[in-house]
Amino acid sequence: MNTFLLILIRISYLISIYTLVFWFLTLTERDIFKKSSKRVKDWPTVSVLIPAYNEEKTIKKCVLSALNLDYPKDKLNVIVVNDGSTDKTADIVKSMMKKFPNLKLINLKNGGKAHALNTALKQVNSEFFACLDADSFVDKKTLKKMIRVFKSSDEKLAVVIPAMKVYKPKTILQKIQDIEYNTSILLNRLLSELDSAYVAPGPFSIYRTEVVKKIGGFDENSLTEDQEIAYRLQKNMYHLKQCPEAWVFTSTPKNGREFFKQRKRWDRGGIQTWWKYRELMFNPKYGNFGVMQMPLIIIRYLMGILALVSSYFFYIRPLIKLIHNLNLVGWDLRAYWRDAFRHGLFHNFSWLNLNFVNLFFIITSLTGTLILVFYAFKYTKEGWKLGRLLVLIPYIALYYLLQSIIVVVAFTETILNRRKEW
Amino acid sequence: MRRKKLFKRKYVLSAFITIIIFLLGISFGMIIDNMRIRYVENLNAQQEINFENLQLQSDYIDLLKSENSTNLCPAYQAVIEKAVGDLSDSLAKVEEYSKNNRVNEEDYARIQKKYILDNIRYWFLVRTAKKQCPMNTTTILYFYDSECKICPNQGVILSYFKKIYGNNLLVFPINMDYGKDVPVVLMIERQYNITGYPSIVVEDEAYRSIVGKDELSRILQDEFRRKNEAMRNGTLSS
Repeated sequence: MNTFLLILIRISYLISIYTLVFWFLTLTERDIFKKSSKRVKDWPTVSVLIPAYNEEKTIKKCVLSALNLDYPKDKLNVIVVNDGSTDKTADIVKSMMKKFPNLKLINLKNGGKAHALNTALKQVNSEFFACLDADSFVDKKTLKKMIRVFKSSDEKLAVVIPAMKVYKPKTILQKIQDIEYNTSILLNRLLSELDSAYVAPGPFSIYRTEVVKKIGGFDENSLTEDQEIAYRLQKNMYHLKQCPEAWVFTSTPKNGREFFKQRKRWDRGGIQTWWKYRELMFNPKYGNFGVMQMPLIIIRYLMGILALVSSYFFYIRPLIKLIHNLNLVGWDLRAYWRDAFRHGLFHNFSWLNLNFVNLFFIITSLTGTLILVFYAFKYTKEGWKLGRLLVLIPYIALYYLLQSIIVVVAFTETILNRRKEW
Repeated sequence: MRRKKLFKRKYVLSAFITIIIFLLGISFGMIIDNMRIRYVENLNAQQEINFENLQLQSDYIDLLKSENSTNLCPAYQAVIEKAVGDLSDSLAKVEEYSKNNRVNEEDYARIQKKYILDNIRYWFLVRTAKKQCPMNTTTILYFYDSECKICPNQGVILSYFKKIYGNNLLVFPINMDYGKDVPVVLMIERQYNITGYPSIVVEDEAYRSIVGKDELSRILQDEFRRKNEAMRNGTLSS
């Protein structure tokens, strides 16, 4: 293998181990899982904004979950922003409005999620507002838990992030995402502790209205407005915090095509936002966000590219060589089978032949990752069943590679589009 | 100006722990590398013993020069085949180690030269043995070097036939990266007029370019047919 590539792989290993160690130190050093027990006498007003575009399948369940939140009804109102849906989304909401007076509907021409949120924001007078994606559902007790976090912090806390789980994972891809989302809950908890959260997820992040209005609302040109606003808040020295056990359930892509589309948008948006706020990189003024999180975000993308290049050397090139060799002997596999039968399949195997340095590195980083995943499942109060353990195999072996492919596509598209703009 | 929190102590502590883990990995690799060298040296020593044993058996059969001596041939042939098989296996291991830079370059060059000499010694021995005992064995000397891009193809084809004929086909690879300054190798090259690589010598016939699967199949079939006939007729094949 190319020495340069080997050096890059070793550097990636170093960064991965460093990050894992840093996270584990954060996990053990503080009582980061402590829930806020702040008693709130006078609950503040909250608006739940639900931007919706052709969501007839899930809108009713989503709106009901918001209306049924365990929260004083006179302090809670729900606004659905119909972003030019061509299905029955608006009709469904209208029919519900008769029963729920604190439910409002705004009809717009299709202009994107950020535009929908900004329009609704103009009508919001409550102290806090929540964004809720129309394909997500929120647990009854979540809102109070999250408001308690606001009440136990200072005015600089601008966003409280929920703990997002996958809603009824059915396909293998959804089950893999279930592991990813559960792990992300723990990672977001860590990032929150480091004041380094870089995304305020669509499903039920709660914002301090005054702050969001002050910084100019959501960026309508961004591909991922939830990442953009998080970066902007970080830049303006505000804090984002995750609330433990504030469960929100979201629908995830069922198949590869949907997954590819969603992740490509996230990655493109991620690259776009990172580039927009690149001045924060390594800037100690922005604390752990500038020094650790900004470099890690871009390293994650670069590592994705590296993983893909490495997979050529580890999987594709040996496969091409095997095909070439079999071609040389006219695809006569009998000779090899006979030989394997005669001498055993692994008669040429020698344990000394393994690359122990790489093996050591793989085992340590894999162990670190597995501990993190198991820790995450403990934190999210999810049990381990055999099925879930089996899903760990494709999660570790293939999922990162799949994501790497998407990263490369997103990177290429971003660069090509940028050139066009120039 | 307000600044955000930076956990400097934690950054330093993480760096310290990471370096320890990294150094642990590297040291672990170095220990295993040493084990590999010792293992390869042991393989070498074992080859020496095997060769001396074979040499003695050959001398013994030569000394008897009687009818009874042919009774010893099957056992002798089995030992030769096993020894050549072992030699080829251990060479494959050394090559695999070197391919991944897991054996020190100097050690590797020394081991390679030693294997060239061992291969030639075994090649001589098999040729001598065939004059003493009836053997259904074909030998191939295979010359290659790392600059030759198509040599690996010849290697694949030879390995394929080795799998088909098993111990009846004895392949002696000569890596010319290390054989260029070995006098006996140069002598053999001159004798068979070998000027480029890959080249193979099947028994006494030299082929000076890549020999494909079909052609080599025909050559080997002819060779084994000739040997079978010779064995049936009771004459020793050379």
